[in-house]
Amino acid sequence: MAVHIFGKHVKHNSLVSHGLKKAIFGIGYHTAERICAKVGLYPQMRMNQLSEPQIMDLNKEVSEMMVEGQLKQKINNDIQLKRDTGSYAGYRHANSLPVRGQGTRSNGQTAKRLNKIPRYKI
Amino acid sequence: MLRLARLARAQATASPSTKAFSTTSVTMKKAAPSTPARKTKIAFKVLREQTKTKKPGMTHLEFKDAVGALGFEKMAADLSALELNKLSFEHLAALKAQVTRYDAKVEPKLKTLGSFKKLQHHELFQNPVSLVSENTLRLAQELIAKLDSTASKDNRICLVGPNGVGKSTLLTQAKALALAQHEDVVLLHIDNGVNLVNGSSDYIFNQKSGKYQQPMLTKRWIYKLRQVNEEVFKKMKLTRDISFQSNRVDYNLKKNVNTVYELLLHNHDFGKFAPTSAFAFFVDELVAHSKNFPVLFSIDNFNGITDYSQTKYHHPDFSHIHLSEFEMGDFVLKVTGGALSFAKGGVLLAKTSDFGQHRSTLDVALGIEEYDPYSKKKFLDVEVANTLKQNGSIKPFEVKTWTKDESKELLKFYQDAGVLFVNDYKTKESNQTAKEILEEKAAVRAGKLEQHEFDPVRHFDRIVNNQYTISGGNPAHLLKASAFIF
Repeated sequence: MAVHIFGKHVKHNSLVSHGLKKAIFGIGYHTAERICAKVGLYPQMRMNQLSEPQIMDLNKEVSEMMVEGQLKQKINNDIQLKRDTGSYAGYRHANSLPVRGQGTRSNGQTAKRLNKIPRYKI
Repeated sequence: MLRLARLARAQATASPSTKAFSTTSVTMKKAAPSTPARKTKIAFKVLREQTKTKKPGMTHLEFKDAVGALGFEKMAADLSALELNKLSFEHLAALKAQVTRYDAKVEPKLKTLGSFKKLQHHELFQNPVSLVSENTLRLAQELIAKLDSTASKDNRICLVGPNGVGKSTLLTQAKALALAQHEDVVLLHIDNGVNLVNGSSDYIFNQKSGKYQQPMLTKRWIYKLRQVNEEVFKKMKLTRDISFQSNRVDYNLKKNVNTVYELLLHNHDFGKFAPTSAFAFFVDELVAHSKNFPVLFSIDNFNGITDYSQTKYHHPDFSHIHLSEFEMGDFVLKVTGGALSFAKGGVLLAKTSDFGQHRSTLDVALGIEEYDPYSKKKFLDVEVANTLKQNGSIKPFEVKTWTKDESKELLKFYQDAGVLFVNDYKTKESNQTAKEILEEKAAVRAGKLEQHEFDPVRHFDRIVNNQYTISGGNPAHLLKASAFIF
């Protein structure tokens, strides 16, 4: 069983705040709690306790935020801008290297895995 | 090696008799039957009884939850042979240092209120029992005896003491004594104060009252109160008319005709996810009737409420909702602070040591700790502390550890009930002191004592001394040391 929020499947017995955080790119725990407070959901509410109007309210709140594809596109564009301007950060992104001055002698594996242009496939 | 391999390969290709093994589908394919095979009945199918698949364990719960949930009390030894005395207010002094049972009428009420907690391990016996200690006698004098004559704002006590000393048990005893003393006492009990503030109930803002309501929490609490106080509520006639709709039926309850019980039975507004004034009406009725029906308001884990006054609930702007902004929270603060007083009654609170010791709101309110102006609001809510200090403040009641006689009495009861864990008899020399070994050997030599003779009285005394030393007279530690095997 799953509950569908913003086109995503969320586990039915998870906390609403936790489910939002896990399912939607761009929503962390703090943002999820803020959304719940705005919609008027109590902190320990679970996904399967949501009513239809509450799900619609959640969808409305989430759709007004920059999440998922929009957010990924923005991140890609920002990185691309750095690359286009020829900045050092753009160079590091393009070469799968850490961007913020970290060493690469023994670490830098996360950057190797993630840093590429475009960063996210949409 | 390479040469040998080449030679072997050459021999394999040269010999005509050997065939290369092939896994192609042509060779592996089964030859199709020329004519379709008839279906033949080989034997009658034997019908077997379908049995349920056994689950791997008895429960998925951890030990401390499992022992409560598995219903071991049904399998426990019957205590009727021990002829335990009933806990009664009249003969309380005579019951001192005795293990008592609860009255058959009172026990289900206490169970409904959630008075018996899992870590008290009541599953050891068929029915819950408790020991009348010095604390019980003191509390009966200081609170229960005054229920009939004093207003609740002048009769406020908070039980304090270290973990496991018996605060919750004392609270339960107080309720049982109140029921034994007064037939018409109203019990308002919250079994865990944290439930008011930990974000486990839904909440809705009531524009009219300006407070947040918690429908789920209120509904459950009212349901419990209705069950426990059924007889008393049936005697209470309404002091005002009230009309409401429930299950598409219109109810018009009249004053002096209908009762509070009927109000609680038919009115489902307490749990409705909509603004309602049902709870306020109920409280008004209790206050109005408190001249004839004393009210005992008790809360276990009270510092769970006061020390977390900034609740886990949020306003729409994500700021925390304060305890006093809730209808239930406000009611609790008013009653415990004395702003709302029942004409006859008392307030009994119990502190728990489960929460961080650095949270000091309740301690400051009780005068146990001094007010620190530099303390963070998170750890000390001055508003709440001042509210509780109003009307002469709440009296702290230090729950003391048991004496050796009380501990001995409990262990004797455990022994009779068959739950006392007895180590091997000290025929092992390691369990005896050097002096005892020498004395025993001398006695055997002199023919006064047979070798390894069992002396149950002496052995029991040894157990009592041992357990009392281990526990320091703390009932929870005593229970762990005497009835649990690790």
